[in-house]
Amino acid sequence: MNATLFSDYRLAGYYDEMFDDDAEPRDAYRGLFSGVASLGSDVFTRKTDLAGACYLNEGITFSHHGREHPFPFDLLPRLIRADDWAWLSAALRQRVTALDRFCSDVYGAQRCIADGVVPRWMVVSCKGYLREMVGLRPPKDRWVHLAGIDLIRDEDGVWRVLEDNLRTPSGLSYVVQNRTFMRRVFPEAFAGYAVRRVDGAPIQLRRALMQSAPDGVADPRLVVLTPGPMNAAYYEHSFLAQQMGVPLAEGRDLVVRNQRVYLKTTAGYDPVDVIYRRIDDAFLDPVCLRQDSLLGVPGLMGVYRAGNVALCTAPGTGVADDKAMYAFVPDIIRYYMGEEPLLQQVPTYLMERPDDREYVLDNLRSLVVKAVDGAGGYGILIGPHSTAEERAEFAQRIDDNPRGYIAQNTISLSRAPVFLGGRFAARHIDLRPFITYGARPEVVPGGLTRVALKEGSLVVNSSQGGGSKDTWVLER
Amino acid sequence: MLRLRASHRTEIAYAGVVHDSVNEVRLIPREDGRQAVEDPYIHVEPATDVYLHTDAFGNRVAWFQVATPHHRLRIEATAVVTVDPAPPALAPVAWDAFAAPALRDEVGEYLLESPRVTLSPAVEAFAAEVDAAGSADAVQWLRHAERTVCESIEYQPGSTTVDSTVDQLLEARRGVCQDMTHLFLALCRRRGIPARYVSGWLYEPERTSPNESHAWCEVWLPGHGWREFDPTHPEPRLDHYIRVGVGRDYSDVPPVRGHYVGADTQEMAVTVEIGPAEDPARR
Repeated sequence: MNATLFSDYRLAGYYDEMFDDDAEPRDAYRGLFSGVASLGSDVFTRKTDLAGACYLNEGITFSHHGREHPFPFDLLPRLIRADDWAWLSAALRQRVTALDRFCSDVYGAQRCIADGVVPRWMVVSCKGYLREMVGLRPPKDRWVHLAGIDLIRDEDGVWRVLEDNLRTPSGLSYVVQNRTFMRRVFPEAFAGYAVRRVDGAPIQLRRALMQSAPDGVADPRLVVLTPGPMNAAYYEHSFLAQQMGVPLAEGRDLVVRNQRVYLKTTAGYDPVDVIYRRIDDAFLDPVCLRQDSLLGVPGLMGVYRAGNVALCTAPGTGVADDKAMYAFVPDIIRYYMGEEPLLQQVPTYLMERPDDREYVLDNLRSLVVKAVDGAGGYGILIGPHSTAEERAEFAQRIDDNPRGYIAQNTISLSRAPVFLGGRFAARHIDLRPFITYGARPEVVPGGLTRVALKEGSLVVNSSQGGGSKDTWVLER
Repeated sequence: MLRLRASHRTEIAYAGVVHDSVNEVRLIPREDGRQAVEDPYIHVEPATDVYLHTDAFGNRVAWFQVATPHHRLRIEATAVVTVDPAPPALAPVAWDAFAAPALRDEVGEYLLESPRVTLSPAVEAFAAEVDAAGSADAVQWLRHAERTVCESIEYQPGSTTVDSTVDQLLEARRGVCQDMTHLFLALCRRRGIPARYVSGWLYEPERTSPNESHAWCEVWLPGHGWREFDPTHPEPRLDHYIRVGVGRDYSDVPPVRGHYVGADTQEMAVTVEIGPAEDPARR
């Protein structure tokens, strides 16, 4: 590691994705390292600026405190070896299959409760548990059509699940566009690498959605349902609709008649069989759910109950990605799959359990505390980086609402080189792979590698100043 | 045993034309507890198909859409309901019985706050008044709480709306059965007693004016199961209650909820008629 761009690079005892403990590039990264090392800082800076311009021109921004920002992108890709990926894919398929079965069971027979796998209390006290789904069986009994499972690697490079995202996870468009822009501004990086393509991801999603259509529909018609341009992820909604070749609709574009959903078009009403919806559960139908919703389609749940439309992802999957339910996922996998979970988790304490709570309140300084229904990096206390005041506030919140919080051991996320200020510096990263689930669970061969741009930070969410890297799954 | 014929009519007149009216109605009496139901029927005008399902709380729900333009909507629900005599009076239930961890797994949703039953500072203050009397056991406390709510709140139709909160009730000290029930539920849940909302109809044979919809509570008493309490009519005459919907609070069991496109609602009239059903042997 002698090239100038890396001259200040320090491993500092963390697991580094690019370098081994002797500061030598790992095998897979060797070609990339020598290529990048031959570039000057000015060349890399220019390429980085060019990538930024691509994002801005494409309108790929995210909303932070009400302002739109381009999504920071780092040009040094994150590599995953073919054998690692084969194992990860199997592990992700196992997990998502089990979570899908769990949703079906919770809203159906509730065998998992009768058999003592999950306490009934955990289910009924869960904010994502949607009572309107009880007894409702979605087409094909498919619940989770697209999952984003957040993975991290610990000090030893062991993959662990940080959290599950089943309710309309976002980021698939970034996976595709990161690769597009990477090829545009840094094509020479691909020399000598056979990288699995990700541009088929929207078609893979489309296939899963089509396979989840109501029985007997020969040629299902699909729409993407968006809350509209004010939504932070509107770019993704429009991108996926365009890539899948299907209409992008708002609630007011759809209408219910005779227990069917129709898209209003200039040529009349077009029947709709599958809705990839990017609207939260509560807003889907003002008749059945939140009455003040202007985003949904009145009567939609009636059509859904009749089995005449598929809503993807099914409403109510929040019961399975609740951060307290996470603690039960290994048992959920054993129960439904009859096998040991392949992926490790992060040791988790339930604030409901008096022993756990006592331990956590005594050790807040070293733990991470999360609100069970938080997202986007909000509602989190990172113990080692917290002030006494913040810890006191969280202790109070835990006391007031134990079911509302969990705590986890602080994991030193793996790090990777990120180009900052003219040279490479180590930053913590995670990985959100995407799993589509129609007839079978399939993993998109890539994923969103998120980067905590702030030095030492463990929070990678874009809403918290995170960036991303292209993720290369190698062919061999 | 009382055999009653009940009919519930909702008539809505709009100020102009409306269309695409989609509704979910909970107007079919329940078939659990001490009730049996015959011939439940929902009739809608303008005529349309009515689809039935059962919700998470075991309530029967009718769903329908009137897509065509119309000026009025009429929903009529009828059923013959047989109500068994009330069970024997409650024996004391020790407070300890509510400390069992199994209770949360049995009926946990009725221990938590719910959209319309929140434990606000105003509820806390009112609860302190109720608790000041002390209580040897939970049943005694429940009867006392039931009476306290009844005596503290003036029953005044029209003083609140279906959307009024418990805080507004405690501020005005006036309300109707729905509000008093929400307050009573809050008191129970605060003490760790599982309690749920019941919407239904009250048979009052001596009453000359039309009957009305009513709301009351059911409390989970270990060893007894669900038992009725009614802060609007303390120590109720139980065989005169027809149970239609149960849930965590009103938001789980509104008799009619829906959405339509078009003119404002001009007038909405609800009529409940309950009388002895003719003897089945003579039919």
